[in-house]
Amino acid sequence: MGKGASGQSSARSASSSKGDTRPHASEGFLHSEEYRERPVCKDIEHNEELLRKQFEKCSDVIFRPFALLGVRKALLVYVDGLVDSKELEANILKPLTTAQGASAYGRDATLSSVEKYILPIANIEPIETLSRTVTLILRWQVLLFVDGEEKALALSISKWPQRTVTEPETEAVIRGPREGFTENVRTATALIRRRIHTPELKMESMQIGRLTQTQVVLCYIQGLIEDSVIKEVKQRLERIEIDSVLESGYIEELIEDTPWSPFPQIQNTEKPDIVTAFLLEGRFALLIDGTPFALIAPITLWGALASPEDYYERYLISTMIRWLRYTFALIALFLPALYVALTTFHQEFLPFSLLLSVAAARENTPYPAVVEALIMEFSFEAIREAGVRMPKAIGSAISIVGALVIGQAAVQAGIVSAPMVIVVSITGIASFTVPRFNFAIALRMLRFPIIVLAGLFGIFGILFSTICIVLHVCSLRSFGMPYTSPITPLSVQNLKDTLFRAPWWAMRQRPSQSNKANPTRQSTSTTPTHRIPGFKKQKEGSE
Amino acid sequence: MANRIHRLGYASVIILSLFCTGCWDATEINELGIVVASGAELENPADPKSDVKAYVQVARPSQLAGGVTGGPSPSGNQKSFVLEEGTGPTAASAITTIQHRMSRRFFLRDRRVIIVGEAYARRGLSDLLDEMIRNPDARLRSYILVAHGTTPGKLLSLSYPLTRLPADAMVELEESHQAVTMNVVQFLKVLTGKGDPYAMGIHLLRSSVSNHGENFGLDDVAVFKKDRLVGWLNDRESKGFYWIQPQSKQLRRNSMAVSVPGGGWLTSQLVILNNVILPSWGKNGPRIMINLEVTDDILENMSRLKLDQPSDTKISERAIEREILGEIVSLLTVLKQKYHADIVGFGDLLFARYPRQWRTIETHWDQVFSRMPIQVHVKVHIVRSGLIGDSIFSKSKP
Repeated sequence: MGKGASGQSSARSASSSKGDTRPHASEGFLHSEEYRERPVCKDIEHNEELLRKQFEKCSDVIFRPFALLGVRKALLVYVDGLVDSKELEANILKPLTTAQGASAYGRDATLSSVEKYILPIANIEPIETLSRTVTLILRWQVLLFVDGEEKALALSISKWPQRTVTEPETEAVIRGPREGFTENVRTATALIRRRIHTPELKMESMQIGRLTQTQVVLCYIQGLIEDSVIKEVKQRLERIEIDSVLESGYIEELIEDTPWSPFPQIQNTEKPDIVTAFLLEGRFALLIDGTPFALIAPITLWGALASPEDYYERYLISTMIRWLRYTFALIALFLPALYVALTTFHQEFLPFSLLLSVAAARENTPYPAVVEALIMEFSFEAIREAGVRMPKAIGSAISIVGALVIGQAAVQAGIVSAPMVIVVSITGIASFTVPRFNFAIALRMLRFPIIVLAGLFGIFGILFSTICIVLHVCSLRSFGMPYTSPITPLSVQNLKDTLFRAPWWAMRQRPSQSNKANPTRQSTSTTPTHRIPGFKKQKEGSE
Repeated sequence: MANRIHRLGYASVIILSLFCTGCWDATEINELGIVVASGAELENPADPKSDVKAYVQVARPSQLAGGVTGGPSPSGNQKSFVLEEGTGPTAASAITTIQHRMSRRFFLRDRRVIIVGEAYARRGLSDLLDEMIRNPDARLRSYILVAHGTTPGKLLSLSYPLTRLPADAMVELEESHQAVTMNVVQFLKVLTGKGDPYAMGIHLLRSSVSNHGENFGLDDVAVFKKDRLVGWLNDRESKGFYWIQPQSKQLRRNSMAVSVPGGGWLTSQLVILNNVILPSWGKNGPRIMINLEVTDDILENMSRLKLDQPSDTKISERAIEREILGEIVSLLTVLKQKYHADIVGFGDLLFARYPRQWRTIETHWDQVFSRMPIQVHVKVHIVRSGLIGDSIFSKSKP
């Protein structure tokens, strides 16, 4: 492994020493040293020959020769399926081939006059080198070559089958916007730009992935986020050299602060309203083409237990539900371990009647409690995983098998005890109350070592693992922000959106841990003192 | 590289050590014998030097849990507990001999009742109590009961029709506020204080209607002198004891029937009890004043009294006062003259108030107690006598 790592790093240093000018072998021969700087030739036949050679055996690359205004030889090259063929016919071929334009320019129609006067296309770019034309053909543009011209025109009329904006299934809400991102990064930027009307909303674009050239948009609001964070993100993104980026998970793993941690340090979401809210709190988002999932950072542990709905529902409800989630996150982590510890080491903790019930239920079970807990938790995870993967049509089959086999039959056959089934079910439900799926998975994974420790050492083992987890979580950082802030380090002012969700009129300041430059979110005009006539007077009168 | 080997070494040591523990102290819950009650008596009640016979009542969870218990369970009218007995020179050693025979480890946390035989109690409970204090598994909240006119073995073998375990019934009886409670902690507290402990007696009820004719119930109060049983209070004296016990303030449903002047009976029920014991120290030594304020309501009026008339209410109040006073006086008489035991705790009150003077009488407190003047004042108020006034029978008769 050490050998492989060193080989990789030497290759990287070689490529960076040439200032990234060296083409990658996979980019085709037109990008090689010999052809790289070669301009578009005046002889259109020669251009066509080279391009045909480059796109050999590529049946979806279309070469469409025609006569420009009936006179000069011209050629369109594009990838079929990635351009809008209707627009190609109506707005490119039609004006260029019919006499409509010929009456004005006749034989003298040059490429620049075509660009300026004839083509009703918004996005046109003159290209000078052949290698660049190859790149642009692959980036869904139509390339127009004209005989005798040393330039080509890249016409952007890209269009391909797309999913419409729908409600994301992973982040369902009762109250709140139902929009979700799609696989197209432009949709994502549009949905965000539609919500924030300020030129300070920056969207810096970059391509990552040698083969996929995936567009990654770094999105932030200048003035709300500290420049050092943006600088750091850019540095981390620039460091990435990878073949492909197919999903946001690639980027997440390549830029997160602590790669070994089970806890996610970057949040992903499909919902534009979440991204917008985070941007306004002085965080940044990464929108990645090809996936509906955007990445948000920096985040905290408490953010993982918050749902967007917390901010849309009234604050009392939100606070209560937040506490419910905190409680159930702890249950998801500790309940099976606690059950194991209590039944194998600390029976004196159990009330008398419960002790009798548990003892009776465990009377005929073959395995010790710890083994039973591990088996049951393991089967539960299997059912959950099967539920995600299987076709929807047989969903009911799995639930019947799960409920009947794991629940009823296993207990009646005396293989597992009934209290264990109850514990596992409660734990399962508890782990689904955590709104962030990847955070819930972290809790589920940690549950297993805790069960083992509880089986070996009892409460002592649980405490030991708790201390380990707390130490680890406290040491985590997400882009410089302590993972547990604002509890540790304590920031009393920011607690208003942690342990409870303060009413909106009370959240006058942005969370200060992410932005110190521009702290004020709203004026005091909506606080009850200002809003309700006579409120102040009554208060003074009563005092 | 070397660093990595080190790290690997540390990690493997930690991981391997996990599997070397062998689960210290681990006991599966179904390997426990859950002791719910225990008993102790002398093997030969006539001989105070004989061995102690101990009883252990162990719950059988499979018979107790309702619904699906997992696996086939032997159905039928089997008892929900197992009673085992063993002998040894002391109560603790007797229990150890039972443990040696049993397949399951005794789990003493939920031992809720300890029944001691009369003969054993007369010899003294010190060995039992010493074991209770030393054994970390034993909890000091177990109630102490004294078998009255029967043996612990007999009592512990009975099942109680209303509760799953007979021990539960005993606990419920103790906690029902119809008796005075005494658990190990309280017993030890009194023993190390200036007074003498007491405990409730438990006896067999011959009932013709339930449970094959046999049942158990709490009855009289057992009087101890230090850790030894010296005798019993009879029914009337026990009632007197309830009146002046501090914990009797919660004594509910304590109804009493009083015969009133002019014939007939009046049954009253306690609503509020306020009892204060005031110690004082005069020239002739300590004195005690007991002030009792009782608020009653009337359950039943089988007399000619018209309770909506203040004068008649007064008469009935006086009658109840006399009855209560009589009960208390008979209690104090028997304590002072027969048992010389201070189970009410006068000694503690005197010591708390007059610690210096207490030293002068500490050594001969029994004698001082026997001669000590005790004044008793009882005041009864009747509330809620009912709007119907006099008895309906007096109306029907012209």
